[in-house]
Amino acid sequence: MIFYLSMIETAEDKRKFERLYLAHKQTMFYAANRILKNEHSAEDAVHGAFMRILNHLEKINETECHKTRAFFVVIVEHIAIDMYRKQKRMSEVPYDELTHCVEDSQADTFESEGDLSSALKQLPLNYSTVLRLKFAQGYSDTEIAELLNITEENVRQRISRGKKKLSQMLAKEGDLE
Amino acid sequence: MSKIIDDAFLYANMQGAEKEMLSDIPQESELSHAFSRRFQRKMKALMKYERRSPAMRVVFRQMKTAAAVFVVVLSLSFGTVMSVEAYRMRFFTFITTAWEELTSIVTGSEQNADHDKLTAIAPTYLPDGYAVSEQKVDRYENTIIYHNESGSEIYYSQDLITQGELIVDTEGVPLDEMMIENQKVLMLQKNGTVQFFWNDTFYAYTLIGKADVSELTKMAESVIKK
Repeated sequence: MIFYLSMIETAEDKRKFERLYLAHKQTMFYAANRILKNEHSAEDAVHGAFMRILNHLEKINETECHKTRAFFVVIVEHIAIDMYRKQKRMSEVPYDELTHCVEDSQADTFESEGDLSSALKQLPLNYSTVLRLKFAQGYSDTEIAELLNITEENVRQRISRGKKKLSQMLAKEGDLE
Repeated sequence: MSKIIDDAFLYANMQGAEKEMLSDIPQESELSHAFSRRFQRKMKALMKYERRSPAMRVVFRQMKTAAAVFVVVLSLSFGTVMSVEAYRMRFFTFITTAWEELTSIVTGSEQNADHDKLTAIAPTYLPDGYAVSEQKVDRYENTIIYHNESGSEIYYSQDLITQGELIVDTEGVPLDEMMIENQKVLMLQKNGTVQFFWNDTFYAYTLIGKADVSELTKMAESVIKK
């Protein structure tokens, strides 16, 4: 019986991967391309993201469309940023300085105190990625480590530093008002 | 004033903030990027891999663990796929294992060559009627697709070697070994498509086409001689 149940689950997963691909490939390409500014590289990032997601299909809830879309975007952005760093060489572009839209990040300003969205856009991507996966997507530190190919210690460190930076950014904005 | 960011605040507000961030991105239906054939081939290969039985994928995952840096490369009857992020190693060894439907070629190395940059090498010999229709060269990969007038395609790639794994969809057909100019070349013939795989110190090469074996051998030879 368990054997047959596992077969049903497998068949469902087969369809799921293809459905997710068809439903999000354009969005993922758009998200990667605005970081990489290169269509070939952006396609590589999308492919890399699907390779990364392949072993985490069971964690994706298709019924929560917005949440699923956000998940795909955060993963492809993470991969695109890794590629961007390699292209520019790490010494030239410190990871901590890479923000959401890379070149456009300086255009963002806080509109009001507590504008978490604007603050997140200006937060270095290595921090905002883990914060989004943990607090918006609900992934555990272990799951985030698996998804991003980093250690759990690194995840905890980024969450801690991300929260600190976010606090500073919102506090600074508060002081300006 | 100071805003204290604690977990409760983030759990309560992060989804909304993320939703607002995503509003910068047009809806899927509003976007219409025409994905390249190369990308579509890679995704097709990935979907085919995903459709494999979980047991088979467990085998691959176990093999993944054995490698310090791992990348899955999938090859269908047309196309080879490689993740860009994993090109780090060279001076590799081939360990070829034939499974029921797939052949795994695991490459391993102790030496890191992360700084390496690919120097493109292209075949100097082409079968009659074929010409370059698409080429991409970057730091890690040199891919050329050739077509003839009847639409037949030959795919050539030169990839900076990584520590990882090549998974060839052999569908029960064993890989043959042949020698071209003292270079060991793995060859697979399936449904009229011929696939060649070989490597030198720095690069892994793939040559795939629905062409005569002798013609593809000459193409491979023209690369090996360089």
